[in-house]
Amino acid sequence: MRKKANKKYTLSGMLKSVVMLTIASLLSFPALATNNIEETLVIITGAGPNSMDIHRTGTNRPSYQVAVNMYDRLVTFGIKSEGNGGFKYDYASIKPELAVSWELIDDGMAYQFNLRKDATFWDGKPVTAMDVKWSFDRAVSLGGFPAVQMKAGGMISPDQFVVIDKHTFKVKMNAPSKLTLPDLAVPVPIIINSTVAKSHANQKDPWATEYLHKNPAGGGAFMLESWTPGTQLVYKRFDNWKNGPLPAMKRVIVREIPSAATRRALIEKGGADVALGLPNKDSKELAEKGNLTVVSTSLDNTLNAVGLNMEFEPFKDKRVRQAIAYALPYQQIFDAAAYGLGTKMWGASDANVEAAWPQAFPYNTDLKKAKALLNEAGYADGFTVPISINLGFAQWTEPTALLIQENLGKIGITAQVNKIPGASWRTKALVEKGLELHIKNFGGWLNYPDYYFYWAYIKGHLFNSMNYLNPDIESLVKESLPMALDDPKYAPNIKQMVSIAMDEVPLIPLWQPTLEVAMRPGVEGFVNWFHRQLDIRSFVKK
Amino acid sequence: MRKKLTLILQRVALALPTLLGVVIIAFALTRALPGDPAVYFAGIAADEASIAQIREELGLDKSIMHQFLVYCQNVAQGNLGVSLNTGQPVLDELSVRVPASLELTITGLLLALITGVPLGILAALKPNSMVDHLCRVFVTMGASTPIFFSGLFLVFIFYYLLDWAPSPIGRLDFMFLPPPYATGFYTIDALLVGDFETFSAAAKQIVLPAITLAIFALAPIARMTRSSMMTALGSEYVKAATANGISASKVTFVYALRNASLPLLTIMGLVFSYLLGANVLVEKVFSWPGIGSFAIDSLVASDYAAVQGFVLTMAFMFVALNLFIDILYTLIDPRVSVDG
Repeated sequence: MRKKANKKYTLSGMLKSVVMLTIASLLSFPALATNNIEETLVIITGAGPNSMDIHRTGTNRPSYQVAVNMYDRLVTFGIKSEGNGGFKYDYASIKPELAVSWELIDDGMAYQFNLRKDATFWDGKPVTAMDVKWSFDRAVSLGGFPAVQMKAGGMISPDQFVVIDKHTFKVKMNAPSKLTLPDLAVPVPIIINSTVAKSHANQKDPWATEYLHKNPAGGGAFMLESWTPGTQLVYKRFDNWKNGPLPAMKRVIVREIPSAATRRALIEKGGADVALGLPNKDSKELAEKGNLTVVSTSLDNTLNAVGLNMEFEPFKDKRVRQAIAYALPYQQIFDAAAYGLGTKMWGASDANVEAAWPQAFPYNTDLKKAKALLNEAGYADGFTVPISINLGFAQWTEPTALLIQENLGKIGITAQVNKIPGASWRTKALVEKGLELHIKNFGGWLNYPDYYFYWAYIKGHLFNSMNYLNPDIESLVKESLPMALDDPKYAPNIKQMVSIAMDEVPLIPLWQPTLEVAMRPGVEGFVNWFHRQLDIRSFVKK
Repeated sequence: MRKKLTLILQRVALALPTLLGVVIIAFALTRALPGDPAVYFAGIAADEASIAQIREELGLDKSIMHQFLVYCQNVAQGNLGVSLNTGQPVLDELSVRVPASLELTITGLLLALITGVPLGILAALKPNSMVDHLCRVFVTMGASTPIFFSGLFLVFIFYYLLDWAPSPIGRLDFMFLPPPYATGFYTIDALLVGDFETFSAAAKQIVLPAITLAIFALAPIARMTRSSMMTALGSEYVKAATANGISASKVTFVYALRNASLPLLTIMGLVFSYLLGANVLVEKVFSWPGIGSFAIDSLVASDYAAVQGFVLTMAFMFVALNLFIDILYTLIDPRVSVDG
C-alpha cells in the first residue's frame, strides 16, 4: 500500500512540474521572439560555409563570407548604389579598412600602409603590423588557392612583407603592378589575431589551421555566435569595430536551404528577410509580382560563353568559328536560359570597339551567312561535334546546349550534348582542355579587361579551355597587365586585344550573367561583390 | 528455444562476411568515382604545385594498396577521416546526420503503418467494396507521385497557403537551440531534459516531411497487408477457427493478422531501406540536414572519406536491419520455433 501511495505522489508531482514547465515555456517564448527582431536579420542561402578559415585546403566559396564579415583587410573597395535597394562594389575606388592611408614608395616598388591606431581584435588586443605580417605570411605559405590569389597581385614570399613599426607596414613588390593594391582588397589577405592563433599552433601545424578552421580569431565587424555546419551560421556584431561604420544589424542568421523552391516559398511567406541565389526564373517572377525587393545586378568581368577548341580540326579555320558565331540563336538562349536577365553580348556594330570588357560582339543569328562561311571553309557538308556542358550548372547550360544543337543542325553540323558532372568538369575542360565545343562561365575577381585576357586568352592558362594562341594577344596582355589605367597606351592596347578576340572568336560570348537576390520590403543593403559572397555589414532593416 | 538461439547466432555470423565485403567495396567504389579530389579541392585557379601539395596531404600520391591498408587501419580504429566537403570529421557528421535521417524515416514509417495497416485490413475484410476501391486509389496516387513533388505540394498547401505548418527550414526553427546530444533524435533528446518547448518545435518541423515519406511508403504497406490478409482469411485454419465459433475479431486479429504479419515484416524492412534512400529528395525540399543530402554532396565533390563513411554506415544499418527482421521473424513465425 505504501509503495502505491508513493508512486501516486511522484506521478502527480511530475504532472505538476510538466504543467509548470509548459506554462513557463509559453510565457518565455514571445519574449524570445520579439526581443531583437528589428536588429536580427535572417538570410537564406543554398549552400553554407564548410570552414571559418579561407586559407585552408578545401574551403568552399560560401566560406568566403566569413573572411569578409569576421575579418578585416588593409583596404577595401568602395560601394556604390545601384538603385532599388541594391549596391555594388566600386572597383575604381580603393578605401581604407585597417589601413587609414597608404603611399607608393621606393620608386613605385613598395606600398607603405599606416594602420589605424585604435583598432582592436574581438578580445580587445590592439591590431598591429605584426599581426598583418603573420597573416600575410600565412596566406602565401599555406599553398593552394590563397597562394594563387596572392600571386595574382605579385605577392609570393614572406620577405615581401615588412613590419616598419607597430602601426606601419610595408609590402614590397618584385615588379610594379596595378594589381597589387586591389589584390589586398579581395577576401584572401585577412588580418588574423596572431597571438590567439600562435597559442594554438604547434610543430606540425605552425599556422594553426586546425584551430582557425573552427574558431575564427579576427577583428572584423561581426563575431561568431554559433555555427552548425550544414545548417546555419549566426553572427553577432562586434560593437567596438573601428574599421568602418558600425553595422545596423546586431545579429545575422544565415540558414542553409538547399532547395531553391523552398527558398522562394520562404521569402514570399516572410519566413526570411533575404533570399540569396535565386534561379533567374524565380527572380523574374518575384519581380513581376512586385511585393518583394528583387535586386538583379550584373557580375563584373564575367561571361557565359561558348568555347571552341583550336585543337579540333574544323575549328582551326577562323571561318568555321565565325560560322558558329553566326549560327547561335542568341535571343532564344537569352530568353530560355537566362530568362532575359543579364546583359546581351551579341549584335554590336563592327566599328565600335571600346576599351572595356565584357562588351557585345559583332555577331547576330544569321544562318545564311553561317552557311556561306562554312562553304567557303570547305565544310559544306558539315561535321560532327559534341557540345559539352557542366552538369553543375545544368539550369542554364542544358537549355543553352539544346538550342545550339538545334541551330547547328540547320547549317549541317551534327551535335550531341555531352553532360559532364561538376567534379570532373575542371579536369576535362580546364586542365586537359580536351572539350571541342563547350559552354563555359568565367569571371575575373579583379575587374580589368587585361586580367580576363590573362586567364582566358593566353595559351596554357587555366581558363583558356580553347587552346587559343595568338602572339599579338600574348604580347599585348603581357605589356598591359602591370600598366596603370591612365597610361596613354593602355586603352589602345585593350581595344586591340578585344578586336582580335572579336575577329578570331575562339570564345563566343552569350551574355553577362547577373546575381539575383530577393529581399523583404524594408530590407536594404545587399552588395554585389566580385566574389559573389555575402557581405552582411551593410544591411539595414526598417 | 535453443534452436532459436542457434539460428540467431547463425544469422549474425552470416552478416560478418557481408560487412567485410562492404569495407572493400566502399573503398573500391570511391576510387572508381570520376574526378580527382585533389584537383577539386585545390580550387578553380590552383596551379600544378598546389594540386600536388594537396594530393600529398590527402595521401593520394601513395599506391592504391597503401591507401587501402591505411584506410582499413583507420576504419578498425573507428576513424573515418575528415570530409573535405563539409570540413568536419566524417564520424561527427554521421553522428548528427544519421539520427536526423532515422528520426524522419522512422516517423514516416510509423505514420505509414498507422494508416496503411488498418486500411489494408479494411480492404481485405470487404474486398471490392467502397473502402477497397478508395484504398486502391489512395495507394496508387501515393505511389505514383514523385516524392519531391508531393513534398513541394505539401509545403505549398500547408505552409504557403494555409500557414498551418512551420517554415520548412530543417529540424528546428531559428529561435531554438538543439537539445543536448543524447540520442541525436531532437524530439527524444528534448524530452529527456524535459524541454517541452523544443520538443514541440522539433515535432512540428517533422510532421510535413514525415507525411511526405508516409505517402510514399503507404502503397507497399497497405497493398501487402491487404493481399496477405486476404490469403490468411481465405485459409483453412481461419475457416476452422470460424467454424469452431471463435469470435470474428479474434479470428481477424489473432489468427489471420499474426500470419499475415510475416510478409508484412519483410516488406517493412524493404520499405524502410527504400525510405532511407528516398530521403535525399525530402531532405532537400525540407532543408533536413540528413545523411542523404550529405551523400549526394560528397559524391558530387568526389569526397572519398565522406562517401566511404556513408557507404559503410548505410551498409551497416542495412545489415543490422535485416538481421533484426530475421530475428523478429524467428520469434513471430510459429514454424521456426519449437515451443510455438
